Amino acid sequence: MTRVVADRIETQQDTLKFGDPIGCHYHWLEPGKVDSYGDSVRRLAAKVELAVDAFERTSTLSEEVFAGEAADTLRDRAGRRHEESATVRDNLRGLGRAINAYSDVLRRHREGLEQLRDLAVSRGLEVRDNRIWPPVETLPGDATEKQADAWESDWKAYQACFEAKIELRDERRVATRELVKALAEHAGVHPDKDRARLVPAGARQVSFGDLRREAAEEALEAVQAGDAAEAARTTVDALRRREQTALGRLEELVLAEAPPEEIQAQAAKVQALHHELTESKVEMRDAEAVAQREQAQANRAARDLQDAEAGRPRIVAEQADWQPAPDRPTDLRDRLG
Amino acid sequence: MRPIAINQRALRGAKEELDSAREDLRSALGDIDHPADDFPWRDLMVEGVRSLVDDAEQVAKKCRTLAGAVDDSIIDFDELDTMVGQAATFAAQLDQVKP
Repeated sequence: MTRVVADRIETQQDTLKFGDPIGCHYHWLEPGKVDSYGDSVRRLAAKVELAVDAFERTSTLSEEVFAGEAADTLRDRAGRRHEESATVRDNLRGLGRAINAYSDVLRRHREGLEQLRDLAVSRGLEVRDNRIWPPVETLPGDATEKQADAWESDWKAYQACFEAKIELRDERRVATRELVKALAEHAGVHPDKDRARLVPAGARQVSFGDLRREAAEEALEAVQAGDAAEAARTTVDALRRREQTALGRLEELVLAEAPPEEIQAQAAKVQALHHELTESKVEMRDAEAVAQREQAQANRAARDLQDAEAGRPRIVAEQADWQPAPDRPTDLRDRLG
Repeated sequence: MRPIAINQRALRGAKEELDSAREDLRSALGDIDHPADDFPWRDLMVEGVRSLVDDAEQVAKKCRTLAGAVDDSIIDFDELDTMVGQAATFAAQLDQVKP
């Protein structure tokens, strides 16, 4: 049976935007308790092993002990039970190990958050209610150069913390893939990145092994491609914000009639950022195209599985290539007014 | 037809092993304490573990069913023993009948 479950925390973690307070406190279940949960699953595997051995003993009763038709039936039956229970034992062991490994992922994440907090404190940012707060958004018009410098430095520190937090989240997500893979492989459950149920948590047992496996693999690939696209989008967003900040600074310099070298240097910085942003946009579009294609394949595999369950014919259709929207030319003069 | 052999002690041993495996397994099933506090992918993880715990429960049930089947075989042979004994007595009685 294939089950698909969306994760509430991951959905919530997607909402972090530049300028928001950054959470720097580990408030999830203690990693040690997750580790114990994995241990209890492995202990259950060890008990299933006893049943595996007992079935094996019955399935290998010798002819001297028990012979005849009834004996053959009993041995066959015990043989089948032996195989089935060995699979259950292996699945429990595999998932138990993956849960143990996942507890390390959470432990590393907790350490990362502690380091993030230390970084914020050392850079002079406000840390309150287990959150790193962004500096004030704007400075008064009569702010001194010193105040402006301090303000810029605070924002840079905030940016470093924001990027570190995003990196921590992404590292944790990458490390989570092993768990997700183990869950799909050993327990037949899959994450739902679409926040919608692609494959029904059907009450009926699906006996179409290949279709089910195909749907599971496609779902996993779609999840991975979706993650990559999301990471690319985050990069583009961050660069866009940096570019706008740099443009704002350039505007200020021009209005303040700053020395030409300074304006020139700032303009070069804007150009460099813009170049980086353009490249990132191309990468993002590629990643989005891949994600969309993978999602379509996963949807199709899920549909095939549903159709097979319902006894409907499998519909095979060619998919039109995805066309990216034409990029809007960016005119720096327009944006500078 | 092959001759039927039965070693009741060995059969009972196999049955006891199935019974004791079932007991151990049942108590371990109760030891699984699903985490209630939140962490990323908890729901999916608990869903996966629950489905495997269901499978392990099935294994325990199958231990019981198979132990029952072994038990039935032993009883069958006990009955067979009695029937053979009765048949022997009956044959001996027939021998004593004088035409």
